Amino acid sequence: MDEIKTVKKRDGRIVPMDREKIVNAIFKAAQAMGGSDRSLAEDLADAVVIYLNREFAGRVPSVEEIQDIVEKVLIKTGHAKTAKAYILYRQRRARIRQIRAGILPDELKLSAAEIDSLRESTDLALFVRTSKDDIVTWNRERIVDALCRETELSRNIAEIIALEVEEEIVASKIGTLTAPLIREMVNAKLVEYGFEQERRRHTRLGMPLYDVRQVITLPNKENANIPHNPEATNLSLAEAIKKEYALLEVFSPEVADAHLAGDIHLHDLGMCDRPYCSGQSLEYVKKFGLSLPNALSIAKPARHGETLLAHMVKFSAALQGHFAGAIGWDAVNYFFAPYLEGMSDRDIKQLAQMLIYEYSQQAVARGGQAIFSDINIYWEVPDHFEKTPAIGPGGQYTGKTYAEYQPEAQKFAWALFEVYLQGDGLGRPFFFPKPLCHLTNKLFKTPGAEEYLTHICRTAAEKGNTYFVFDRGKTAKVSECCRLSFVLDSTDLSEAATPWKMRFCALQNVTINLPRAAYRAAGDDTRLFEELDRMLGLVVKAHQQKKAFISRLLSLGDRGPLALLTMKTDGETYLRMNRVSYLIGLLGLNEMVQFHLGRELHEDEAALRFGLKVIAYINLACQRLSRELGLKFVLEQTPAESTAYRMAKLDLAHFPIQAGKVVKGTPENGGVYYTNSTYLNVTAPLAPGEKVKQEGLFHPLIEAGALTHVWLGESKPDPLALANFVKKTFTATQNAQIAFSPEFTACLDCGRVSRGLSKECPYCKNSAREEVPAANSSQTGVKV
Amino acid sequence: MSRKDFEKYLSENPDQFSFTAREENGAPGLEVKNSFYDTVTFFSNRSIDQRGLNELVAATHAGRNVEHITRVTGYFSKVSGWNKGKVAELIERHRNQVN
Repeated sequence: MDEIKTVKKRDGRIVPMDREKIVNAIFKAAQAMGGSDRSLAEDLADAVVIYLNREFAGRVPSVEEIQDIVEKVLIKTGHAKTAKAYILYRQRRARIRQIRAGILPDELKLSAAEIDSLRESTDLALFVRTSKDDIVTWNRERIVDALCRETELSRNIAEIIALEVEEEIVASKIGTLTAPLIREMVNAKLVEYGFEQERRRHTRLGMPLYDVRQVITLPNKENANIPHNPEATNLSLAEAIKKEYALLEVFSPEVADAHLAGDIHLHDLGMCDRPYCSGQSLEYVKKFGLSLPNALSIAKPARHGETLLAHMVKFSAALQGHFAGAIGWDAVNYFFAPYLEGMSDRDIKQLAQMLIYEYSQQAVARGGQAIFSDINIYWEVPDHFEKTPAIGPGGQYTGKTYAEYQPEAQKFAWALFEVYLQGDGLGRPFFFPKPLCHLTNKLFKTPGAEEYLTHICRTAAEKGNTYFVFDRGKTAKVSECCRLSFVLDSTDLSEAATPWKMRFCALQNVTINLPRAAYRAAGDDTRLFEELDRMLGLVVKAHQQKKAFISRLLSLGDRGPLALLTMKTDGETYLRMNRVSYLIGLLGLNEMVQFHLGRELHEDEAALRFGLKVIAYINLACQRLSRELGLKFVLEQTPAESTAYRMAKLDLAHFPIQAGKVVKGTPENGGVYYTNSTYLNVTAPLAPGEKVKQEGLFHPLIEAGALTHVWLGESKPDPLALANFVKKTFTATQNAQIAFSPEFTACLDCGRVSRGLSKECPYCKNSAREEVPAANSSQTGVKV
Repeated sequence: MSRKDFEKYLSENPDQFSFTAREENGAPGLEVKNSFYDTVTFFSNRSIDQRGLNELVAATHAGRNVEHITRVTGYFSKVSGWNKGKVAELIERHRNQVN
């Protein structure tokens, strides 16, 4: 006999015939009537198939025709009750299809007979554990209410879905019902009926038990600035939910998918309800004191340096709760200076010490995380603050300009670096606040510059803290975060007379996976640039969506979650949305060029030139998009602490042949990464001067911040040699910022710190060695 | 502490410790492997008798209970908190002398 192999679906597609589907449909109808014999359903399905083969020999039956035959078989074999349930089920589905297609009005009610037929089987005495710490008796109406409220489905359709879920619950004989389980059953039903949009709206966010256990017990490795304690795991759990929320509601499916697939990276999704990072002026705190929304007390402007410091730190902590990333402070030593008049050097050092310890020990704030904090430091009074009237104790003008406070400001800068040089109680480097030293043309003409430069270079050599920020010519900027800088334009600089207004914000950071553009282009230049355009298009959409979401939260004003950012102490909201910038991050230029040209950036001139061409192209696109859309898009070297790892991993999975050729690290143990931003391969054996120069070629194209690392390892350079190196970098390169990174090994047993990364503490590794070393041991024995 | 108590403690922490009985220069004792610090330490019975638990455990990692600190991307942190990609990068970084 000619067997039926295919079925014609309602949408016209021909698909393979699946006997299991018939078995399931029959068994489901039987279950609704209290049946539990699946083998009977199997036999009946076989009968249906035999019937089909006979009736439809030589042609393809439709779904409807098959369902008609199921009905016939059920009735003819004497399963009238099951047949009734099956017919009602078909009718409900048909009705939902018609309502959705607009053929039937959706106020159409279920017939009393239908409801009765379902209710007779559902006289339930079930209990449900709800998400509100309660156990309640089963009530189908709760599903209906939730569906109507959350998904905007009509009450009629919601009723049908609730009834069917109730049927399944009865049939399954589930002992313990929980609200999440019911919700997922409802979601499965929504999928079954093709209500995809509604299912998304009805989603429950959260984590599997196993994952929560992992979070609570194991440390977080995504961000090295997060310790492991209950406060930190709160942060991880909250972030996990907000991340899911962001991908469902803040961003469109297109953008969310591009993130999940790894074309782009949306940074700090777990903090989707806040802007990215910010730069502040201490003048705001000096002038207005500390008056925060919902605070229990309000402080008037500080009269003493210590109080100002306390206000600054508390304000930083409050801001940390409202921004995802760094909190930077501009010209800190100058703005503190009016409070230092007449103080002894010893007291100034004491205040410097307090400042650094206050920030470095704030690992008790949000999520047990230290405040990612930056202090901008100038030796000479920067041009734009030269004539600015200084604000002093009590928030009053002192009658002097900041130029006149240069001596105090210099003393404070000096003292801060004495503290950095000493390090913490064990002599380890302070992690925060990061000191960003601005080097300008004016600095080198200012008395004491040589000594100052040697002083901050000594700290760089010993502890590594110093960041050298190069502001050549008329450039002025506020630096913060890993390398972010807000370049001050003419509007910004015109505010220097009212410096409390000078607060800056980057609303969001979105990074482009550059190597992937090369994989898709397969060596073709035109396709490469088209792909970059496409990715930029996604980045722009992401920024617009985040902006819309934050604007919505801000519009709730002082009753909303971002009340701190909408306070209008000086007549303007603290966060000035019309002034924010939108960061476009770069990742893996080196691997992109390597795949496209077969050579890495440091390997030949042509590769380096091509890399520059790519970044110049993206930079121009940023400028064009800024003009067209009225949003300030700027390029940044993404810190990419986790992104460089994440994207390399994703590409090895999705583009294994291509990524396998260029990915860096040790794929055999999963330690893979892309070279950060526009950096040269970190393993490239370049002399430091050459590295600083070549990487610096990219920096003028990357307005929102760039940095070159000089990895020192265990070497400890001479401060004078470093000072020369820094000066040469200023005069002979275009590099925007450099930092020197030594490595340390701190012994938790003996409390001493040594240079370099070593497995054993050089001071106490032999302390246990007495007389008897163990055979084949990598350790030592204890005395017999 | 007694060798029996020491063995009991070690077997209660199997993730970190394993041990075998052996002799060293004619002295009977216990060879303890500490997998957290990748060490093997021989303790004679006499040395176990004379010492408390803290001292014995500390001896299994003496000199190796260290943390590494350097710049991860734009800031200093402890290497123990880094992800695998960053650790791989750290191992490969080309270090410079600046003279």
